[in-house]
Amino acid sequence: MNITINPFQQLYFSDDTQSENNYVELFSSEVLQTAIHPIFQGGNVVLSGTQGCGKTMILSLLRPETRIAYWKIGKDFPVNKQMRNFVSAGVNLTRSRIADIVQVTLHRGDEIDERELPFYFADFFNYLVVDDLIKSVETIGKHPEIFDSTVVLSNIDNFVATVARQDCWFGYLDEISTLEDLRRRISQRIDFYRRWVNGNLIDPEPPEEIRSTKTNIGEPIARTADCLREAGIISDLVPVLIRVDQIEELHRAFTDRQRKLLLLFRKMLNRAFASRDARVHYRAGTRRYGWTNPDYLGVWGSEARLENRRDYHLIDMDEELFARGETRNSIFERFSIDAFQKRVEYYFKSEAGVLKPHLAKSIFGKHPNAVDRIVQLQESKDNAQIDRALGVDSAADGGSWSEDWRNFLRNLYKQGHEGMLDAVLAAAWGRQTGGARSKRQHREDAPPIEAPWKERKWWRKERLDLAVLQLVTRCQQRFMWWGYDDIRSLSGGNITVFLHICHRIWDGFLKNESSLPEQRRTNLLNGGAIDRNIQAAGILFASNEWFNKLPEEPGGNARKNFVERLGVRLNEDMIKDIRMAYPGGNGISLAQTEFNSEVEEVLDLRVFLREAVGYGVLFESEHSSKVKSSGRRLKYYLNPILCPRFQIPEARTKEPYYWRLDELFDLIRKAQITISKLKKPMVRSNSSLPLFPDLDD
Amino acid sequence: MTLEQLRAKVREWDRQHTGDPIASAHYEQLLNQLQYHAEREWRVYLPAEHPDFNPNYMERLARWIGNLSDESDQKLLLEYALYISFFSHDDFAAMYRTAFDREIMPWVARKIGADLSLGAKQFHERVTYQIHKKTWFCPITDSMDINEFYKVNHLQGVGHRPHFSTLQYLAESAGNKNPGIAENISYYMANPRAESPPPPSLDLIVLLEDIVGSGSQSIDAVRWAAETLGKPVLFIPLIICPRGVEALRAEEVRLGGRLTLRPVIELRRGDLLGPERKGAEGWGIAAELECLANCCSTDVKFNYNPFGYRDTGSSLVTYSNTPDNTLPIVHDVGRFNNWSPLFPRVYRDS
Repeated sequence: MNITINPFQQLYFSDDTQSENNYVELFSSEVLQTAIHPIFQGGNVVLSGTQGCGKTMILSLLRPETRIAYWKIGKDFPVNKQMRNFVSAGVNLTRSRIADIVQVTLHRGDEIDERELPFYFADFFNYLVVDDLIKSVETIGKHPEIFDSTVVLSNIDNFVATVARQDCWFGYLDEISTLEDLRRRISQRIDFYRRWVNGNLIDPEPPEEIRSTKTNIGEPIARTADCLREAGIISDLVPVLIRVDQIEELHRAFTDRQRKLLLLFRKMLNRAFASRDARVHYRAGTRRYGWTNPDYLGVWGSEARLENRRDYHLIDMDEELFARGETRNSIFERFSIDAFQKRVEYYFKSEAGVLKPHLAKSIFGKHPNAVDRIVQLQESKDNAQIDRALGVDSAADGGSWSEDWRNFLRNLYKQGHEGMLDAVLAAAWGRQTGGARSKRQHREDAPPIEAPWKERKWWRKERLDLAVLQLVTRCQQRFMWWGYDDIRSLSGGNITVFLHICHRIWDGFLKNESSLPEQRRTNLLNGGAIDRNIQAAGILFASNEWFNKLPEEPGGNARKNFVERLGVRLNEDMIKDIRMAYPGGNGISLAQTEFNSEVEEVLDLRVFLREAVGYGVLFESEHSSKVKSSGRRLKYYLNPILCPRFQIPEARTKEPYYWRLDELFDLIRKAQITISKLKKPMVRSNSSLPLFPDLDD
Repeated sequence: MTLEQLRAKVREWDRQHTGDPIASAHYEQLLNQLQYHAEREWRVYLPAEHPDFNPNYMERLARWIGNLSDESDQKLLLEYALYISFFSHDDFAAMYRTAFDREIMPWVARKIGADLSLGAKQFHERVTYQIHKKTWFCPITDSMDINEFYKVNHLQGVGHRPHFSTLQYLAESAGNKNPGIAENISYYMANPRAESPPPPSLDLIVLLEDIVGSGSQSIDAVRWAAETLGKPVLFIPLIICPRGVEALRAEEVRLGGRLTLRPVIELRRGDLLGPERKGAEGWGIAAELECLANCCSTDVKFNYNPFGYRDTGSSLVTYSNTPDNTLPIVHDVGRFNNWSPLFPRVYRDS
């Protein structure tokens, strides 16, 4: 097996526009569930999900180039035959650099910029999309063998004449008569914008020709679609789908001016959605934080906000497809196994032959049980060491142990690794009282003859991970993860996280292999598996990398500090919970009544946490309180991929810790995070404040 | 220790709970960084091309760490590996360019009284003429690759570029003093080539050396050049240690303008280990490393002091060799050949 290739080296193929072939080989159709079908049908659709969940890969299916690539390779296009009849065009807000308009100014003050730059944004958007629409139509029309008669180019001159006559251009396309002229004229417009944002114009203000012909958002696109139908180039039954990918790019602001302007651009874009124009249908791809904040849903020129189900249909990939809150999920499991298989097949096609199915499961092996996780611990016969491992003299232990109990636990501990685990659970059981009303701990009686910590299956199951964590920590070892199920669970329903973990594990495997003589190497393509220690190291490495990536997004430093504090706190609380009263203590729960307060500080906290959820740092879900009268609560967990770094088991077995808001504020203060945003306008004062007021006295 | 064993060890170290609740995969990250550099900048280390050693840095690293049996010492060596400064061939080319642009050009301009009031074109022409026709660039010792220096900077031809340490030695120290050597050099500078018409004379001297530790090797050569040849001398050590700076600055003062010192890279005391650090704030692991260096020297019997020649305490390596100013745990095999060095050194004198 070639030990220089890591099939997971390149995580993002959706960004690789040079190679649709890669896309075809690697795209997994497992993700094309019923929930996704609206993408290929009528109406506006917003595809939302955290970074790397696969949105852009799905939207790429709308591109004619992708369909052509499938045909060339001889693979069936994965979209249902009934849903293939569409024309699509679009713009990626990152790649097109359209948001760079925020860098320019009209040199007549901020107010004028805020009033007029959104119109230039709209105009730039319109021309980009129309350009791509015409290109797509041409591409489709030239390949009737692939697209049947979705597009018929025979009447193209008629189309050009009609579109040029439309008043939405305000005369910009007057005297255009051929397709070539039309495309050139549109390119000139786009070229102007590119030169403007790059500061390449001598005159900083746009010329009169541009100023006086700015178009209304969406209207030229809709008219172009109409003209295509009128000229018979597409039939009335063919939907025109307009992709707008990476909308969250409009919220990557680093200054107040940028923030304001980008928000206005966003409102302008929302206006296209709000028009609910039947002539075209929009497909937005956005990360969650680009769509969950209500402030981002305002519509230019009105007080209205975009509404789900009225203006668009929202598909939240994380929730609907991959059910992020749950650790087992059949769609994601199939998706991840398929994505893994395709990658290995693609990169090793010359030597692989026929690979066995479900390679991910055989290469990574089985999920470790609790005993597997402690097998690296040395079995001890020394009583002092055993007592330390069981925490019997821990400062957190409010009670005391009789000699009977100590000997009982020690004897249990000495019975191999199963015994060690039983001893930890027995000690926790001993510290419990058996019920909320009882104050008498089990250890105040003699050790039981039966083993309730074994017989009470659910009690035991809920506490196994916590027992392992406490035991390994007290034995000065780390909680480690390996096996396909662990990797899938840590991925948190995100395919990019899954592939990233695979990348790191495979990298560790290759490095290890390169130091071995050939006869001792492992062939993963032929039944081999990756050693659990290499997997564990790779997972830990990936977890730390993911943590260190947090500052890459706006506001990421604050989130990183918050996660660091919260992660350490949760780990500490779990270690100290020697009674194992909170086996679900790898998360926190907040009362909704408190959380929904209109107090400004709480408002800021809400925004901060929701952004953290939107950026995929935290997972959030509602739940009912264990106290019936208390109402609904919100629970928050760290993204599972962060759990190895903070030594927190990622499985959610029971209720998380119930926190009050002031505990959360306390944590935020200790992390030295400022969560309030500067929403209020700057008050301009004529008198400047002294730099060192104390010294000036 | 083999590389396979080292990898297993690193994984085991990261599995250990050190008291910090955060599992940062610290040692795996260190090893990854080292591997990254090993595959790129550190790929070529000339002395390791010899059959007695392994040209693969990672294999040498494993053996080096395996010199020690105590795990905390092994961890410390692994951390230290990332502090060792390796200057690759490309780094040297960059230093040659820096020496030329940042130090030589301004010095030459000052010496010939050229300034920009003449106009940029004329200034450039004068300085360029002086540099290419009337300035002599020579090394102190043969560890300075003067030929490469000429090529990188497109310097034009002065046919002879002797090592000044050799000249000084022959003139002053090798048995009988020989003033004729200085006379011959002066004659050569006045008549660099026998041509008609005769080429211009060389009236500025630039001496270069790759690494200067205490300055003991260079100081006699630059002093001899400045005192006996009657021409201004610019001395450029590419890398210099604090003790060398002190010694040469004192010489600069003593020679009253005949010598100018302009290093490219000047180490701080905090970059050193051992007595030469003189308590300056160094790396976080400096104190532990110093203790380890002393212990190793006691056990292993290196050919040098625990902190290198004259206890300089540097942690430098170049692609062509490791200077003896660097800690012997990095480069020495020990008197009884009982130490696997990370960057084995080729000795200059037996």
